[in-house]
Amino acid sequence: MATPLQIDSRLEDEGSAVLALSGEVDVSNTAQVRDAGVKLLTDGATRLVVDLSGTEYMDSAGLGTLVGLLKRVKEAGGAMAIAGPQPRVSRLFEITGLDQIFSIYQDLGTAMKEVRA
Amino acid sequence: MKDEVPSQVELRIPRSCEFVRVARKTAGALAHQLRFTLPDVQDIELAVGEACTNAVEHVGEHCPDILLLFSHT
Repeated sequence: MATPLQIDSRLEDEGSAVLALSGEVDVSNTAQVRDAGVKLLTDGATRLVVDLSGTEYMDSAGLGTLVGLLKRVKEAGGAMAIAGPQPRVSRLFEITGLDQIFSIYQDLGTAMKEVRA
Repeated sequence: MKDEVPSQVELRIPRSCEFVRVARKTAGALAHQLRFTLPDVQDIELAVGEACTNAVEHVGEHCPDILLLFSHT
């Protein structure tokens, strides 16, 4: 009975990848998010965009998972960005100060362009 | 609508990550019925979700359930 979440992970060109999270990210499903993100990295991605445009809710467990992915990406010398968070999720980044840690862009296209730069 | 919400509501959930959402959604529904604004409803859901997550992760094995008591004045 994990919280409804759809994860779409895909490798793209130039070592880039998209991890799209649709639905609700909370403590019941962050392990799935972590596993999907780590698989993209072990499959060769060094530039990761997490698409949150379809994310309706996220809690601190979800944020912690994203921080873990960011740490892995940075240790590998790569880049990571967040794309399209809805206001509710944006606010979570702001009140935790993580908007100062993550590169956050309004849409997926801009985020992809930035991580590839 | 506000008058239809009892002053206290109890909810007992299993100490399991899968039920944190149930607590969160219940809190949100009650807040909505009490005519909180949408941002406030969302804040209440977040606060209750985080509190329940803490309880699920940190209470001992001897505690199989979590009891939530919602009240308003």
